Amino acid sequence: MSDRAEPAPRPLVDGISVSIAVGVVALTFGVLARTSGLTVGKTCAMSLLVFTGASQFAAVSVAAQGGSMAAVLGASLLLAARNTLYGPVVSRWFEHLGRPRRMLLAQFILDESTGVGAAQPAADGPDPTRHNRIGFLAGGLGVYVLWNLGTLVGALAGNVVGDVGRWGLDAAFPASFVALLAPHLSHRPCRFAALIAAVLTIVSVPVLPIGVPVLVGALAVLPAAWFTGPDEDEPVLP
Amino acid sequence: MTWLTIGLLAGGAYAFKWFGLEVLGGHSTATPRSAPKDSGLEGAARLGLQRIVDLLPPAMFAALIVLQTFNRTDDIRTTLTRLVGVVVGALAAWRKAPLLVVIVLAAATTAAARALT
Repeated sequence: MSDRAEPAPRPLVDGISVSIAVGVVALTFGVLARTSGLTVGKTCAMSLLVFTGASQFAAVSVAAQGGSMAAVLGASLLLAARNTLYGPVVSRWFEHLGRPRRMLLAQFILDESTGVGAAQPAADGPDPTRHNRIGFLAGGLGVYVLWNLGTLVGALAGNVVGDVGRWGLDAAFPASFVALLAPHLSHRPCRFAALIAAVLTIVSVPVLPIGVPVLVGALAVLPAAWFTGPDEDEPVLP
Repeated sequence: MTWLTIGLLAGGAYAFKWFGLEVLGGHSTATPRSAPKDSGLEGAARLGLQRIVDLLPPAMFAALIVLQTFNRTDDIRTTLTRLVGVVVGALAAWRKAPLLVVIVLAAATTAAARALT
């Protein structure tokens, strides 16, 4: 890996790639939701309205195990809480927008859209966040379309697909986050934050309820920000 | 799952997104207050928050990778075959392969490992 070379901006290619990948994962969600007892209508309503991948999987899996409504809401919304943390990152790319448009924008804040946006380098000239913005929108809108399309197809296909594990689809989700993480790892404080987060999550997965370990992992930013010091170098994100 | 549950999930998920963007993102609250520019302490606090926000995506992605790779309800064969796929995907990502290639390689590797074991 070349040390501090800026990657070339590819906001559209990245956004479309992640959308196709998410579409494949959505097939999985559609199938899983149907096999856990949801109707096609409810399955599609979740993807259209809730639109938060990991939360939807959590909700369906807890419901499938016979979890109470409180358990479903708890596990799912704890996973959704991390989207709050992306708000300040995304906000800086869209400061020129008025409130009504920002209200619409909020629905598209996801791991994937924020990740694609944040992976883009700063643009030259008077609009340094241009690539971030295009990446976020390409990722957000593309994911919305393909997530819902994939959900519909998966829900209709139902048990035709059979065991999703046989196709290795359960490896697709973590692998996509590995790819989104990779550009951050050239920056030392980010490496540090990622490492601590991974350790905190490993330690807390066996003891904490579903959904909580991700939030514990997020606490890694505190020691990472503290120990790497403010004068280290410029932030990766513009 | 009832329609009420789905409605509450949708409302809750949106509320988190909106809160982060508008309130933590500082559009609605921070603007009037920060009118006198960067008195030292305030500037330092903002810089600290900025650093934390910059570090959040890598921390969250790392946590999600761990969470989704190691699911405590899965048996050892399911987990190990998944791990092989994720590692192959990570090698591809390290070699700067496009995202879709990373994902296809990971899924194909895991599927192949399961077919063979």
